[in-house]
Amino acid sequence: MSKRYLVGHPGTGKTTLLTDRLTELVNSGVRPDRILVLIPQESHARRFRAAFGRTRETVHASAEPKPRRARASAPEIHTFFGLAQRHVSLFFPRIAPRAGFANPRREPVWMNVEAAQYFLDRVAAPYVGDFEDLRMPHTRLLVQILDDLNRAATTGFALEELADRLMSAWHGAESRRHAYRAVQEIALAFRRFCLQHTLVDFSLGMELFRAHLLKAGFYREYVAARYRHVLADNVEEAAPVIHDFLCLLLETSDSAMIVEDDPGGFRINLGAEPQSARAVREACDWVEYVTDPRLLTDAPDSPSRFGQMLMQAIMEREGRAPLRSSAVEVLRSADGSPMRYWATMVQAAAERIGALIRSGVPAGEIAVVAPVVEDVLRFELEERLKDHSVGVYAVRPSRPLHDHPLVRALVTFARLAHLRWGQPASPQELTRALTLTISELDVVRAQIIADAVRRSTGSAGISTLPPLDDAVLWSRVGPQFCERYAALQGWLAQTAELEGHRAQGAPLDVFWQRFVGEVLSRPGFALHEDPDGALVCDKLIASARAFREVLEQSDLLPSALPTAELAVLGLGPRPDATETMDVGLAYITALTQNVLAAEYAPERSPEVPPDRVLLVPAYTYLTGDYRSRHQFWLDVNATSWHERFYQPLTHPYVLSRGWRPGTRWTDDDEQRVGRELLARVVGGLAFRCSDRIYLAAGELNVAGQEESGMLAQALRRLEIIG
Amino acid sequence: MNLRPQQLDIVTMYTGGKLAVSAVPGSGKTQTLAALAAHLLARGLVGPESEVLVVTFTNSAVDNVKARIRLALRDLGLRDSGFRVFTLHSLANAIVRERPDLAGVTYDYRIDDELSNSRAMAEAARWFIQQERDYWLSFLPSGLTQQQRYQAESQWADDTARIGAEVTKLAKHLRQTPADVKALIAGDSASADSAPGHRLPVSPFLRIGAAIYERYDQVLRAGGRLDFDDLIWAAIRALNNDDDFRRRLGRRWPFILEDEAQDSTPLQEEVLSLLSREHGNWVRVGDPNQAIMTTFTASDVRFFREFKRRPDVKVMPLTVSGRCAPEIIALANRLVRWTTGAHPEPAVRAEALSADELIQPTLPDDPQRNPSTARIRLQAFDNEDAEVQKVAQSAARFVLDQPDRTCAILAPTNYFGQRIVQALEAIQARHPGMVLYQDQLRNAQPVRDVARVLAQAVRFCSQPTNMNALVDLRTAMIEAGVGPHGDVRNNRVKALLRSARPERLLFPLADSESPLPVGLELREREERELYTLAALVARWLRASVLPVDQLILAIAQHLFARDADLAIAHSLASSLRRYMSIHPDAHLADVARELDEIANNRQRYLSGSLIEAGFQPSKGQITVTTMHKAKGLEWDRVYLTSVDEIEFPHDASAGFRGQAWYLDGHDPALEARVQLEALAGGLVRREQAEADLLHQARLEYIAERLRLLYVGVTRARSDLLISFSRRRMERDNSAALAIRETLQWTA
Repeated sequence: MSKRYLVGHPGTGKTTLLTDRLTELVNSGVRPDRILVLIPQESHARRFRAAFGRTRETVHASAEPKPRRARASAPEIHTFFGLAQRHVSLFFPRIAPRAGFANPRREPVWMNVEAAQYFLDRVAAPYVGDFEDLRMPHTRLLVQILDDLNRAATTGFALEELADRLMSAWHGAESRRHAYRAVQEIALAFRRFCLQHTLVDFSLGMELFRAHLLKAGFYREYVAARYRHVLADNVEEAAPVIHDFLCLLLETSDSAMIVEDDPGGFRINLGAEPQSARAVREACDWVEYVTDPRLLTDAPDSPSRFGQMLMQAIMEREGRAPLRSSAVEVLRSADGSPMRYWATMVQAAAERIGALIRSGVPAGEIAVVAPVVEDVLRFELEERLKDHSVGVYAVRPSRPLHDHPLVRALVTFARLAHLRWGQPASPQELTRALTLTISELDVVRAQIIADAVRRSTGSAGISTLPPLDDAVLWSRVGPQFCERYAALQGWLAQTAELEGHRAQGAPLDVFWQRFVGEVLSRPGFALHEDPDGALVCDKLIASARAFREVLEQSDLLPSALPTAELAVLGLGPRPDATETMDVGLAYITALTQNVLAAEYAPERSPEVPPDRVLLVPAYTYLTGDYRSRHQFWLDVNATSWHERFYQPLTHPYVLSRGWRPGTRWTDDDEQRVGRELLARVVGGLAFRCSDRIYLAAGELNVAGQEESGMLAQALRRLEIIG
Repeated sequence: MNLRPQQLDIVTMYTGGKLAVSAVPGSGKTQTLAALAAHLLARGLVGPESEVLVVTFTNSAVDNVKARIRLALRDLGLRDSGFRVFTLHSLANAIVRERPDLAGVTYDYRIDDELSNSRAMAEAARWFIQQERDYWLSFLPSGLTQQQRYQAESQWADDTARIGAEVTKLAKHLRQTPADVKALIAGDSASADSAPGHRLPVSPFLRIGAAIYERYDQVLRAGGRLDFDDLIWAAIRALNNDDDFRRRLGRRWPFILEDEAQDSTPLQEEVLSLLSREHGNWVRVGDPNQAIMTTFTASDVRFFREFKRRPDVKVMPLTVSGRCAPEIIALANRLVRWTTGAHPEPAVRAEALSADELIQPTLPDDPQRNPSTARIRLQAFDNEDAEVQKVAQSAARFVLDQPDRTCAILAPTNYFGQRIVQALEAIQARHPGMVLYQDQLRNAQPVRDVARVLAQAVRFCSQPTNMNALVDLRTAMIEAGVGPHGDVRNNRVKALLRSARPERLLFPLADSESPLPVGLELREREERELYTLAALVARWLRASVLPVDQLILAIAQHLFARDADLAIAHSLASSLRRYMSIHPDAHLADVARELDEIANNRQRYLSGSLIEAGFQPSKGQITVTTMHKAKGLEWDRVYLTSVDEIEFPHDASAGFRGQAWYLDGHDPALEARVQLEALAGGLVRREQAEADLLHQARLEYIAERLRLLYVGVTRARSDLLISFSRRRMERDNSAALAIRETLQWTA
């Protein structure tokens, strides 16, 4: 009974078993800091912290106090990669000499994805001609190479094998093989560059963890002594390197409880490999399948049952008996006919949501899920739900920073505060920035302010904000907005003045940090009640800071590099801002030129406010492990329900551990994984829904085109849609 | 469904294999294809997981074919499923979308429409001129006056862009990358050195074209963008890179029915050939005599003809047509017979038109009988001015007298069409309140209408305090028949809007006073209009922080309900997203300007035919367009203008349009194209002299113009009025030989 492996559907109470186990361990007198809890993402930590908090309350409440040490410590709760990175940092001095660093004694600089992209861009420059038969934006090339680096590290194959793996699976034109070789060369050059300059990107961190730390005797001893009890949730979402680590823990720990969600494996683009969890399962003493009461024969109709039937229909592709389920409702237009236009679909969904809310369902229990959530969907749903006085809470998957309107506004204000950059803002930019930062300010009043600013400065380019105290302006814009403008203007003027006194201004990230803290978070400004926006700002500030810290390593400024080395690394001096030594301007330049268009790990999933309807892409819903009473599936005709993120220079399956090198990747394989992926997505959604699923689609998508994806085909086979 | 015997033969006899259907104008090609698709389904020849694939040439044809197949299925008592209708581009997109990795793109690849495409090409040409300024200038003759020099430079710049466009287009159809083209040029030069006797000097124009092609390709590549040809090329790559994938699609689409096969380019033909390799069931319907897209699309009538001649291809006729009056049919057939039998150039006789496809009038019991009356006239005018004025007046009289009939003036060029439009404008000014004509020269009306409304909407979003912009937006919406109902002539509403405080009207605060000046009484209807409008545009203003393409999509969802309009809005939106990615500093005001350019015809958006944009002739209005764009349409009365020896030459040794005065009579784009074709395909023996190549190209041009004339003639149902000017471009001029001969005209 000591090492258990639980498998079950979402919603069957597995995580509760884990938290109960935590309580049980602590209550039985186990030292909390001897317990390791591993989770797929930070937001899952809440439940474990709460469970542990309750044990402390019982400890306090009980008459006989436990030994003091037990109360002072807490269990270690980490995300999969978080723990790995932490341990690499901790033991860096011991593993660096063998890992090939040029200066193993130096403190390593951890690069975020922006910095990694920035340098990879330079390393890759000489190779751009090697991708003749491919067409993609330059940043996509970089993103794919980073993905290859990460997969090699988390799967556990040498970078030198990268091209061979990809090539043996390929059976098309020869030119692609050439591209694979170039990718490998760039990846290797980038790795050398990092080792040379003691820079650690995500892939190198994982490489250090897998190839050096996990194999080191001292580390095994450390782990054995440190973690006596292991609790791990959602191991199907972890990469093979984490499974290796879990196997190591299972050898030495006293007890373990490992949980696998089925269907799961939604982080496949982040290296998750459900199949490789099998080794973990085999290392456990017990495997238990948690029964799902919702699927018992006498259980009432439920979304879960529908999900299971739909999964089967997707996998079998056979004609099945028609499915009738009271847990599913197909939305139709007002006159009962199928909906032709996309806008009609959004309207129908909004109407149905409104009816639900009127019948007493709290908005927070309703989720709208689509394969892709574009701005126009968010906007339209928001507008139409306004008629029902319901707000929308949109959780977006990661996107490039510069695509966030708020980020653009922060860039505008940074330019207004840094005269020496010589980058004035246009009145339109100012209008936008004001609309986005001053709460409730509409575009019209923002424009009135911007016009006044332009009149006052007398030029088309606005380089600094003047004070405005025009009575007419006050009456038109309204005193509340004028006061906020004045606050904003005053702060910027003061900062600009301080800037002027210093030879070298404060770093950009510090500027933004203060701006957010001292202006934008105050009442009347955008971030006061917008945790989402705050999250984006945090990311921007962290990104700018990391970028600065990496660039401030003196040996990385182009002027400090010897020419020969520059040539070897392909780092010709660039005529961009790094030469002016102003890292802040360099950052903004890179940001706006979209070099920093990194793919991010999903943002931590925020809690949905109870009074708002959740709008979320299907994958984000699943990785965020949301639950709802009512789910609306929009655009069910779309092919994007089953399409994976195809990229020609990387491959989540061929670069996985389960892949037998030398095998060809065929179209049948592609079809199979497409079906599996879709089945997992619909199952994963349905098992997370308790009351009812609503299906909606227009015959035409937002672009006015017809689509018919695998999901729609399966629904048609079940005669759920016509 | 009422089918003629010929149509019925095709529909009932075809069960599989390769079939070529030779059709004539107005013979019901689309109807036949739709019926065939329905019958294949009715006979159970298509499995439950499979679909009949129908490929048409234009977007609007897609809707048309779909509707007809649905009707046919309903007649047969069948379910409305089991078929798929695509244009070639949407088919290629569907293929690439399914496996972008095989096609060599990432999942988020972008397709360039023609607007951003032509912009990118112009930028590539400008880049070349800038880089190689001295070399580029060296082509111009010395001793020009300043005025001439200015003209020459500007024309040479236009021609440079044309060279780039044509070389790029052809290279892609020959599947030659920029590197391949460079290698071809270099390889040939090398062999020329070693064997000086067989030297084919590489034209400097081809070198220029190759450099522009390279630059253009780099720019698109760096943006992850595919132009239409790249998209088809990418689909071919995907199909070639994985046989299993190709076979799977073959199983999904066990029958392929292709419309307008005569306009298929080698690339397009290759896609369908690959898809049909699995089963060999490929029906191609085409009219080789209407192949007029060659200069634009690198299609070539040879390909369809070769297909017809293949031993494994069965050929069936579709030659009965009820469109034109018998006299017009006779004229069209005479044009074919004269060309094949008596054209002075033997090569043109063999190539231009085919007598296999002579038009037959309908039988008496036909559901669509030929019109009974006809009027055919050839008119000579003293000069262009006279032709323009007289034609415009005659057409205006016609629509005023017969408001229930349709009428078109077809010009050989946009320039000439523009002059007709000016003349009609003047006439219209004398008939206030009447719409006498529709200018369909560059961008079709629907595209322009959509662009115009969007331009005003975006312009207002860029300056929401400007109430004049809101008034303009309102007018544009009413004129386009979208948005809140209102009367465009109601000056009171306009005045009200102008005097309103925008912030109070659009975003009233809790304590807001009335947005309107004190003392103004609103009528109820006006009030309703005013506040509906305010609510609508306030929504857009809130959306104006979205990325521009998303803003346009949001506006479009509120305004447009026609599929075609939504599709146009979407393609404008994605085109503007690319514009923003190229010009990251651009503002909404710039975006509005871009939309204006399209709305006002200054920038070409779609080069395809009018029918592609969903255009249908309106009764009592003159359609002014080019002969090219008229394809697929018909009018009761058609004016064909400038049918002369300049536009429709017969002699390959005479001077041609396209030859540049400042380049000593060379036609740079043509020369570059012909040479590239020769180098790449070995279509012409290498030792053949350059002059022969040019001669060959001119013969092809003569042939294509004859087909264009054939298309023009067959647009007319009853009246065909042909005209030309005796004096044009400062020289004496005569009617085109072909028309003189077929009408037995003597001057």
